[in-house]
Amino acid sequence: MRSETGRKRLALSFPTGGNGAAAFVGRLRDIIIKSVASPLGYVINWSRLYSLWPVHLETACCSVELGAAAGARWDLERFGVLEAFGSLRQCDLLMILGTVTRKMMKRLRVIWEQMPEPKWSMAIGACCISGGLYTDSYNVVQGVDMEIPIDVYVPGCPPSPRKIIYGLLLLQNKIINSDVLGRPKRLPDREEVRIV
Amino acid sequence: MKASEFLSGFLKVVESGLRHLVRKRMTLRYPEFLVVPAPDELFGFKPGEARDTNGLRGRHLLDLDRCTGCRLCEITCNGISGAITMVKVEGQFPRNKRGIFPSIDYGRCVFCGLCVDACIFDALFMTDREELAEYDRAALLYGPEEISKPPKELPVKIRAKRAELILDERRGAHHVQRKN
Ligand code: SF4
Ligand code: SF4
Ligand code: SF4
Repeated sequence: MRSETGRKRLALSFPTGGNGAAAFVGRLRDIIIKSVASPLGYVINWSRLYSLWPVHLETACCSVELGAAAGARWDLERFGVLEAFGSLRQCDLLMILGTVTRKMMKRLRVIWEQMPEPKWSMAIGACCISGGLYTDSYNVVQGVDMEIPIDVYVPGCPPSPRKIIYGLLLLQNKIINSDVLGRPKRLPDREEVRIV
Repeated sequence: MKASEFLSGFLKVVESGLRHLVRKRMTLRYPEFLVVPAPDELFGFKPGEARDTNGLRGRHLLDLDRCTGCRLCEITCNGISGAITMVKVEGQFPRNKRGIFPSIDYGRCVFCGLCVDACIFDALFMTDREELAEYDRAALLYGPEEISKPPKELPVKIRAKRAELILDERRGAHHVQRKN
């Protein structure tokens, strides 16, 4: 049942071989996941939908629009996106807003690796999707998806709150169609997008 | 702090909280409601008046019958973000013998609208569709056939009804559904 990449990820986080305790914990985790997955999967995913805590990595002008989206007029908190977070280890959504330079990319990787599974990521704005205005620049990363996996791409320069909220809606539709570990079982069509 | 000061401060807090009970909600409930400033007009360039028409700058709309394949939009965009590339379309087009039309990569496009200004043949417009988010990068690349059709309706479940902003001094700014 489990896909190949998932197995690899599992093996990475729990190194087996040589360490008996770690192997035991890994096996225990497998058993728990298997017993919980089918009956409680939907409920667990449903509870994830409206408690997405974002790391907002704001390196440039796109961040202004997230501020607007969090304000009273558009109110991102309706969707459970709470912009004040304590630590990266409590977050499950990485929002990349702005130009990511090569130096920043290293930090971005560190941030992504620090977040616990399951985690999702949104690339917001032309700059981090493809380089945007800084196309062919020597120091701007031409698309963050070369380095980290991206779940939802939100185009625009900057994307209006409307686009950001629609992107979030797509992400919620993806989460509800995932398994317990947060890996998508299938991607919903555009026509199926709904308020979950 | 004196007790009276404390009490007056406390009352002020309660009063402002109570006032919000009678005020209307400012929030626009987006996926169900949407404010569009000029819904009946496409963003385009009027060469005669040398000005742009009003309208949101969202997804492009290409008129395949008017486009001549002159590449002016591509040349303009190359100086900005390089979102436009010309691709060949099968079929007969009397005004476009070579059959090349712009395709737009929305991962690169910055929605500046300069390609619309550059098009002297009145073939390129911009619609008010901003819901362009996708799950995968390749889906952001729109070919000529795709941008020549008007954007599809949003799914029924989230179809945005048109709303307008009411500025009410007494009960606070709020949104109501538009009649027309
Ligand atoms: S996409 Fe546009 S608004 Fe966003 S960071 Fe880049 S230049 Fe700024
Ligand atoms: S709106 Fe600007 S960035 Fe987008 S295709 Fe036209 S010229 Fe290029
Ligand atoms: S859209 Fe306009 S500017 Fe672009 S190739 Fe066609 S006619 Fe020329």
